Amino acid sequence: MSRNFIFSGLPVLQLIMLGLLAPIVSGVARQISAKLEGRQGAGVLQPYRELKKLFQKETLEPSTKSIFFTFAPYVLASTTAVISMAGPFLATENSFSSSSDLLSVVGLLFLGNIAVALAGLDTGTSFGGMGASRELTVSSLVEPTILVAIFALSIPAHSSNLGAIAAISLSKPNLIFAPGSLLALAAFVVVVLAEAKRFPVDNPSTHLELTMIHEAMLLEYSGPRLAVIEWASSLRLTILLGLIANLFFPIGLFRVGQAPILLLVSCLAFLIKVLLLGSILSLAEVFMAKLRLFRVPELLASSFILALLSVVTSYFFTATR
Amino acid sequence: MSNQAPLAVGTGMTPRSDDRLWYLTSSVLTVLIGVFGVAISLRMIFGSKISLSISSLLPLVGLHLSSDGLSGLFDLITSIVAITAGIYVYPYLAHSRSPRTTAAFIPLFVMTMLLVPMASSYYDFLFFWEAMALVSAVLVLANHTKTEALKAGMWYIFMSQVGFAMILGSLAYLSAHSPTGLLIGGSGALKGIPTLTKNIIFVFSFFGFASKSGQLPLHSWLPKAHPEAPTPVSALMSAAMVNLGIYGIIRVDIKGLGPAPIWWGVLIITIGATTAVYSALHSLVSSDIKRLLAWSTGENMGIVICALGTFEVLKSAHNLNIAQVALAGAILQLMGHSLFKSLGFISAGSVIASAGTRSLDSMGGIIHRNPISAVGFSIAALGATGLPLGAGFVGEWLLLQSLIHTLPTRSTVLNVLMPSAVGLLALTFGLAVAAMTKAFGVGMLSRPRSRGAAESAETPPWEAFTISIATLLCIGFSFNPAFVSKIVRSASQATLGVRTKGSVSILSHITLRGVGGSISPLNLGLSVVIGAILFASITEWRIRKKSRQLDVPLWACGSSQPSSKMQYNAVAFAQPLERIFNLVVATQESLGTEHADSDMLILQSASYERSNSDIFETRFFPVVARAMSNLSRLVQKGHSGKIRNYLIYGAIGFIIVLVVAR
Repeated sequence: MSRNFIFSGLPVLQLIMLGLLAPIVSGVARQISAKLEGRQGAGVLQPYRELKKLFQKETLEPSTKSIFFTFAPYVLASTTAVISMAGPFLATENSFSSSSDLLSVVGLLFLGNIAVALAGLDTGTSFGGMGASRELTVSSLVEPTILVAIFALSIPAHSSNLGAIAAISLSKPNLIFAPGSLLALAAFVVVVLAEAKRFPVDNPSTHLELTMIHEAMLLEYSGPRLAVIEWASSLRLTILLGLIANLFFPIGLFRVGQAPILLLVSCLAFLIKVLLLGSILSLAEVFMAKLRLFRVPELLASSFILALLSVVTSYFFTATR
Repeated sequence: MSNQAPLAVGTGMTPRSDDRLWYLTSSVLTVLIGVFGVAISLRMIFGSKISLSISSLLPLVGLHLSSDGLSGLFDLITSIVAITAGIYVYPYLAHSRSPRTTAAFIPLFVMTMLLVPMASSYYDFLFFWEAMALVSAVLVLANHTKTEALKAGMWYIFMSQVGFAMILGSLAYLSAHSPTGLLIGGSGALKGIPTLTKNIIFVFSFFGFASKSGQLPLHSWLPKAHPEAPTPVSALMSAAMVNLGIYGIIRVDIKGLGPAPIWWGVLIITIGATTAVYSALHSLVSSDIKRLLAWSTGENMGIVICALGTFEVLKSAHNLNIAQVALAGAILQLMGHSLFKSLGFISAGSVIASAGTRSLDSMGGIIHRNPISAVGFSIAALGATGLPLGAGFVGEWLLLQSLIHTLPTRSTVLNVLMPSAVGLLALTFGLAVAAMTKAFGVGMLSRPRSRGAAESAETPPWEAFTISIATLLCIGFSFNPAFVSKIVRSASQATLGVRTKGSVSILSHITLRGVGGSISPLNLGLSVVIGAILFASITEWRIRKKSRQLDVPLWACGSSQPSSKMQYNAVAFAQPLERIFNLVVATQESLGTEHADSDMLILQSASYERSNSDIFETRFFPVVARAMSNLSRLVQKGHSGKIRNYLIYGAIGFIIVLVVAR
């Protein structure tokens, strides 16, 4: 009874927990950078205040917008929410985990990117188009890399389901140190930075339009719709950090059938891991400069090659084992 | 090439009052053939064998038709495309005032395409194959007064004949060695062919058939001919005719010639994956909407061929269970592609007709003026990206599953090949998404970039009807592929030739038997849609409760109303990726400046030109052409024009014949 209850309730629990947690992750990351740069910082709760402020503001609707501009934020939010329900964040499997397949997760991330890129093109401003073009340039190299890097992990797991991959790494912890997994981790970290619109690919707090990628597409948004986009973006960051955490270091991850109290441990472990990764991220960002736009593909291409190498090595190592 | 070459095709561009009757008849006939095709192909799929032999109808051997599940699959796809494209034939022909020849040849084209998979003997197959090529060549040349179309037609005729020669040679040999001369039902009877000959036949027939599907290196007719053909014909060619190349590969190379050595599969995967990436890149840099769709056809066929290669490799490794997964992937990708590509061409055709341009750089704002075509195009583009909720998703998922479960192998070749295929396919996936986002975002959304686009008329009701039907088919397929479960099973059993318990079950969940792994496009799609509706209703309710200002001028970072020329266009959008992959897409840019003064300080005017070239056309084909002309010069030397020399040749030839035929 309780097993089934947990199994079917997990997606909702994951959505609530990740959805509430997401702004804190970016808050912590921002606060740490502020301290390291010698500033006071606005506190870890600042993202919540910003969301509240945006949600109460009036909305300006540009004259040239179409239905795609109106609905893009919701598609972004919905695809992100589906991933956070299906993915192996609190437990290896749940009632929704057939949708946490590698291809569908990468596809949903991509779908969210496209929705926003189309919204950027929709209003017909130069900055919107510029942002959309850059965004697609980056993500059409990033998504294949995510696909290939996780593919390397799915070969030893014999399944492309993220939950199954996490379960395998949980039962065979030494698999993390296989050369294929290490290469995949390196590739994955680079693309997570790009996908989450962080340094050295994009600057989330830039105010200079010509250097923007992600923000340039959102210039025409205001009010509650912008709040939805901001929330979804921080949820995406949490999800990506969560994937690093649970695919490569699934310590403490709950398995259905274990004592329910362990679910609490799993929540706590997830929180700690994600906050830790977020802090490392902001620590690294302080020492990094943003790359010139045309140097970015070099970085992404090298991470793609790392990912490809990781697949080749996993093929060889799994085959000879 | 002289572009005034007189061709006895078409009756000219002058419209006549009774032309409308021709157009209507053509449209109705095409739809009727399609309906009839659906009926008989469903019969083929659900078990009853269709066979027909009329020995008096074709010279020499007579007409022999037969069928199995495989013929059923290809005929069903062709028929469905024929119905949607057929409805569109009338409005298109009436709008473009096409020549009567076009009207007359469209139903004939559909007919020949339906007969190719039914041809039961080698002879019939070759006859219908060539008939299809010739009829479609006439259709490509419909607008032969335009230089571009004439050139495209020439390329098409040349390449399809080279492909046909390869197929003819190999099938003639097979036919001579087959006791029954039958292609369908007579398999397994090919005996006594030496291995070397078999390999040569495989290579020739594979490249011949692959050229029909737009695969490298004989691909370059596809992105030229498909855009120049009348739009319903483009839809038929891109969504139905290219499939028949795949049919030929399955029927002759995989089913007829097998069991295969492992390198056949390796060759197939290599060609498929390379073509997929190459075509995706060219699709990305195209600014002509039909050309972009045509390149995307080559890309999708590349994915299908890659899946067939995986099937072949796994079958050679006796891993029949996973091989079926790859085969199911190929079949679903094929079906999905036909559905979204016919929709893509029809909705693009409607946009082109109303905006008066094929160039994405002159479109924009279609969603406001012409919402049905724009939404239809968006569904087609979503399918072409292979993302969840699109028609291309399931096929790609199955292909990926088969690659994951290829293990364990100990073959070094496969351990290198499979990861590279995964990498190339992943890259294709990313590039296709960028290409389709560009096509839809720049072409259909944003502000109009030309007067034609700004004043484009609303979609006429007849076209809107066609687009809605095709859109519904596409959405139905992508959300619930369970409809086609039986079709996939019967086609894959016909391919394998043995009755097996299928390893893929396609219900509301697509499940792999034996290895585990399942996905539900329905659950995934519904949850995204419901989620978006929930988020939208909460937020939009909030927005309406608070104050909002409608129709405010664009902010655009404070610049006063930017002109529509200041938007990103298709070239600008693709520029960063084009720069990265410059080696492959070979962009040529030239900047010409004229100065007003002799010191060259004051600029008077500047011109900028750019183009992309197909590196196969600029690098590979000239080498072949030079070799051919050298060879022919050699032959020319023998032709001295003196009778005694010809007598000697005749005598030598006669002796050779005697020796060989002894």
